[in-house]
Amino acid sequence: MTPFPSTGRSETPHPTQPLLEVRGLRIRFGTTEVVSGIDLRIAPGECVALVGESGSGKSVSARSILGLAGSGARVDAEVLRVADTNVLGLRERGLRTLRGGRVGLIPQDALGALDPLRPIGHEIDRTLQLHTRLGASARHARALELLHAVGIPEPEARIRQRPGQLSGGLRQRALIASVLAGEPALLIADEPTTALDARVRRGILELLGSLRDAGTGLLLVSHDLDAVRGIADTVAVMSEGRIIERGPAATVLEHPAEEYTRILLAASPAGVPRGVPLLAAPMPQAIQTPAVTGRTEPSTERLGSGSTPAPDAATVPGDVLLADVITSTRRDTGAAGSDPLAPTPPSAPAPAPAFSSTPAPILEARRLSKTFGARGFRVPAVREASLTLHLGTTLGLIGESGSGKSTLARLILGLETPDAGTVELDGRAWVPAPESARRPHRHRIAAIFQDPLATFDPRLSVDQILADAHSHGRTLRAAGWQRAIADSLDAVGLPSTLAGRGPRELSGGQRQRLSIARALAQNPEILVCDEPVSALDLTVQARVLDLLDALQRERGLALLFISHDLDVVRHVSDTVAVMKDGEIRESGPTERVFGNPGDEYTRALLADTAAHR
Amino acid sequence: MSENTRQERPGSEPTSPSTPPHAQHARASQPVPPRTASPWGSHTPHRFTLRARDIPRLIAALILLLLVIAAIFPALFAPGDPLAIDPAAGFQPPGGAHPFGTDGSGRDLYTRVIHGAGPSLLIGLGATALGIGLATILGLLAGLGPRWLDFGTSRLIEVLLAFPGLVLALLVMVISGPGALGATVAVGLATAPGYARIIRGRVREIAGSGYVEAARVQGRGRVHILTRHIFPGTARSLASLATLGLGQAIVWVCALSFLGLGVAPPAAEWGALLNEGRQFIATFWWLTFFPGLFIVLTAVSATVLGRGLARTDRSAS
Amino acid sequence: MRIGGAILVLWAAATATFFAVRLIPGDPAQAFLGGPGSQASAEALARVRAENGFDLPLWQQYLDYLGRLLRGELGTSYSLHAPVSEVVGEQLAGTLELALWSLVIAWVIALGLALWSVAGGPVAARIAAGIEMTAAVLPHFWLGSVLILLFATGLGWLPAIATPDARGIILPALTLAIPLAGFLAQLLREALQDAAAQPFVLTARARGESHASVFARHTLRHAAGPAIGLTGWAFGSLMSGAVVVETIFARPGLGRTLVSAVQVRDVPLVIGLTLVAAAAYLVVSVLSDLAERALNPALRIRTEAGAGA
Repeated sequence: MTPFPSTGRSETPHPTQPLLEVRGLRIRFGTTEVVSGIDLRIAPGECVALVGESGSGKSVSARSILGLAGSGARVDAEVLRVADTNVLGLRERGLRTLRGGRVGLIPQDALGALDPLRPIGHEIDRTLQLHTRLGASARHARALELLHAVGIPEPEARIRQRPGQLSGGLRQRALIASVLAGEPALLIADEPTTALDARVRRGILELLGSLRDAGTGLLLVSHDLDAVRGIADTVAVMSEGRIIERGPAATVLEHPAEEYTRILLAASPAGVPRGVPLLAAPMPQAIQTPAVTGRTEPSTERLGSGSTPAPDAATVPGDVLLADVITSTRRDTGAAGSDPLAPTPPSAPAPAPAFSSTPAPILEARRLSKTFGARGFRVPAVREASLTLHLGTTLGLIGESGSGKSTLARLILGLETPDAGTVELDGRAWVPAPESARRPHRHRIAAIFQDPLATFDPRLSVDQILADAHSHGRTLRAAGWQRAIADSLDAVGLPSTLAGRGPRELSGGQRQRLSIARALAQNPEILVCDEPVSALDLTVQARVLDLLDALQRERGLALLFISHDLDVVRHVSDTVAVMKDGEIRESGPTERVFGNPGDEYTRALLADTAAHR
Repeated sequence: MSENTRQERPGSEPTSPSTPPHAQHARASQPVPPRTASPWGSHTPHRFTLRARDIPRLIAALILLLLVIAAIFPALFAPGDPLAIDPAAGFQPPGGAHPFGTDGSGRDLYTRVIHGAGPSLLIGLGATALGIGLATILGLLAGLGPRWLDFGTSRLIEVLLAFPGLVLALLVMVISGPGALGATVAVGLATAPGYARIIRGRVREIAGSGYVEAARVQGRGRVHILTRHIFPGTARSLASLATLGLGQAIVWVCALSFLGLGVAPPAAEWGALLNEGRQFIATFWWLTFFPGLFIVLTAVSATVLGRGLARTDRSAS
Repeated sequence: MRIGGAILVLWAAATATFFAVRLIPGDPAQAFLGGPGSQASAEALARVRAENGFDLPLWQQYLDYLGRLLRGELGTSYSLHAPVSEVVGEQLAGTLELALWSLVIAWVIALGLALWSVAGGPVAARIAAGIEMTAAVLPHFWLGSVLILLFATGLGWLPAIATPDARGIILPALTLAIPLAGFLAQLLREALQDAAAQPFVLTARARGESHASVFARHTLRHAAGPAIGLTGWAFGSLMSGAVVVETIFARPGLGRTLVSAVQVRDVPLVIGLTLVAAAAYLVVSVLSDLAERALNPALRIRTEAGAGA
């Protein structure tokens, strides 16, 4: 990596003075306090990671350093200082020299963070105009230099391009370049790697690491503890507006003192063998998601530590209930046989389920191909892809975005007609087949998707959705189906109090549970899961994964599990298939593919994922 | 100005039939507060909490309600005869026995305006019903039919939209002839293409939605998807469209009457009253002011209420 | 391609009018000679039929009609006994002048209102929303009378009847502009609010841009594109309004001519004027679309990709 010229103007009169010092930071929106007194301290060349789940107040805390907490925000602090400047004492003019010049912010989501109408060069140029005295040609030269420094190839061509013409990784790099142009001594990066594929993520982290090594102070905001491994010197874990644990990265990541941190760490599926539940420990209070009504409002009521007893089951949101159910079953393994949710005890990892030995596959896709577009603009989405699915087992399908894995899922679901190839369901023709022939067997294949909300008719309530599913579309009246609806909600760990709500009034995790409940109501043999957890927070993801695993055991489902996340796929799958550019590059038993990859692309994927930890 | 642009735009939410294509902003990305009330199939317990933003809608509904009562029982508000002449009391300014003044023959303007509510609303309703009815047929054909039918219908809508609204209505009037019926038909036909475009967009939006796809995965048939998802979803949009359109239709029909092509004087219809008063704008202002005020009141109320409905519809989808 | 599309629409519009007019009951030759009341002689009727080709088969009449349209001939007015194209030529300037002034005034009012409501915080936005909505539904016929009442009868500042001098156009242009301004302001305000909520605004603020600079460089540009793309629609709505406004203010123009043509059922004149209105709308639409595209390269890219797909 190219060294950064003059990064980190010497801001520090004393070598000991921190770049950033925050004490007792409080932020309120109206009457709701979202940040309740946090402390932060960053020295030059230090990287502090602020980690927490969505709604914990980490992003707004980071933005308040620049006076950008939002128009309705009230910010108070005992100390809020950047080097020797008191931020709270600054007026708009002073803040503007601080922003970009001394503190740079890399906002979330590079796609939205760059103006789609303006070439990236303009954004860099503006920062240079605002914070340097360079002339036009010098600025242009500097912009090219910066683009080169952040690792964008052919800067001369790229400088004129708009964000829409760049890939996700290049966009993120361009955004970073526009922030570095002001040569800030302190850099705040808000979820810089979140939406990126593994290999791109690694490049961005290396870039940030080299900046830190050059003396820039770095505040890294992330929801993923694993993502900050290897770059953060200090980790602060945030929950419900407070920092609940802080320490050197190695200590916090390896020997967390707090239960909440342990759960955050445990929630990561990385390295957890197939069949072992992720969240074995009982949930502490702090992790409980408040019952969500439409919009999550951060509440301060639940800030009490994990000592309070679990609240009444009727008011507990679903995400917690299941965890309790699982733990209680686990403690009482003797009764597991009769329990609908009985998972195998964690001490004895599951033997391969009996179903997998069944010789005949439940579903077999042979050489499926699909090309989109017309006349000279044809994009092959899937090329000769073959898959085999057995009852009681999970086939994981890995691929980066755009690799064609979702199209393959839609072909298997009979939502698209393939150009070539066939799918057989239980030995009978499934694709291609007339829809009328497929319809009587449709109930055998169910599906859940990345965005469950879009799959619910907004006019229907939870119980209407389930009544419709149980009655196979005959009725929306919950009246005759109370029992079935209650069982459905129970099976996915949703409290029955949600029955009258609309899907928009549920949290993300609850919505995905509801979509699982609906899928199971049709009593399927196969469940196609297309990125079912990628929109969820890590702990919520963990609970949904645990639920899917438990349900699979109970019902002997065959799962086709599609994800871009290697750790997730490795944790849930018996066999995996790796997809790239519409082709299945490699497939086989999970441990074989991951342990001894036969394909070059698989090896590269694994290397990228392994590298950042 | 080609078909591509029209289809690319997220113009599928009902705002107003007269609203231009681009005006229909996709505001779905906004966070949605929990629903407190929805006109159809409300599953949230109805909570009667009155918020400040609901007050205009409430007032609008009240005004429309009063107008409807006046239309059905005009004698409740104005017991006199709208056609009774009193030549001695011609062109009386507002005040005293004649709150809105009198016309040249001494007819009480207040009585005439109240009695005009009936014909005015009826013609407006008729035109809206015709417009929405035609548009629903076109919109469903285009939205649900095979590709060639969608192509044909969409092009027809596009061609009709090339005529400015009132100009199209005038073109129809030359064929249908002047009079109340002619004006109703003209306004109905002239507003239909705008509605049809919105309905087609809505139908296609639902037909391509994740929940219709989910229904297909569940093995639901065409009829089920139509009756459970597409028709109810479209019906909600129709309700707000019709309310918004009512105001528009009344204004247009009155414009035609005002131009001397719709309802002819001495009928008490508001547009006809305006036409009567037209030549006296400079001398006897009340003759145009009060009937016009009632038209504006109706149109504004219908718009406020229609937008309210559109908003609940949007936040639900 | 876009211009080709507009021409196709115009051809379809001409065809639709041609066949729609055949729905009128009665003998067109009779109508030509002043309707059934005129008691025209059999010879006169026969002469008119032959001259206008009313006795030819429908398809031949249609082809003749298209041929004449291509040559810019729109037929002969029954009531004015003059070629329709001549009438249009005489009246076009007045209406265009009115429409252009109204468009300018409407944009100025809309921009002012939208900027004020965005800058003035939530209360201003609320008030502005109310004003915009009311303005947008005000019927021209009533607004025109009220303006006459205020500025002509009441204050005596401006003439009530359109006079040839510059003062004469103020009231008609305002009457047309105010409802349009209501629409445009609504749109512009929503577009500005949407643009201001975009994440790139945070990026810009975070690099030290002032509010004004963010507005000029980012927000306004995002909001202006769709608003400019609307000009075609706005122009069409002005043509509708001109029908009423020209009548109220006794201003010569296409609109007033159209009203009197409809009153006497002068079919060729109505068709001619209607087609001119449609053509004007299409021309402005194509232009405003091109302008929007020039402003937003993303739109260009999307269309190119869309055309390829």
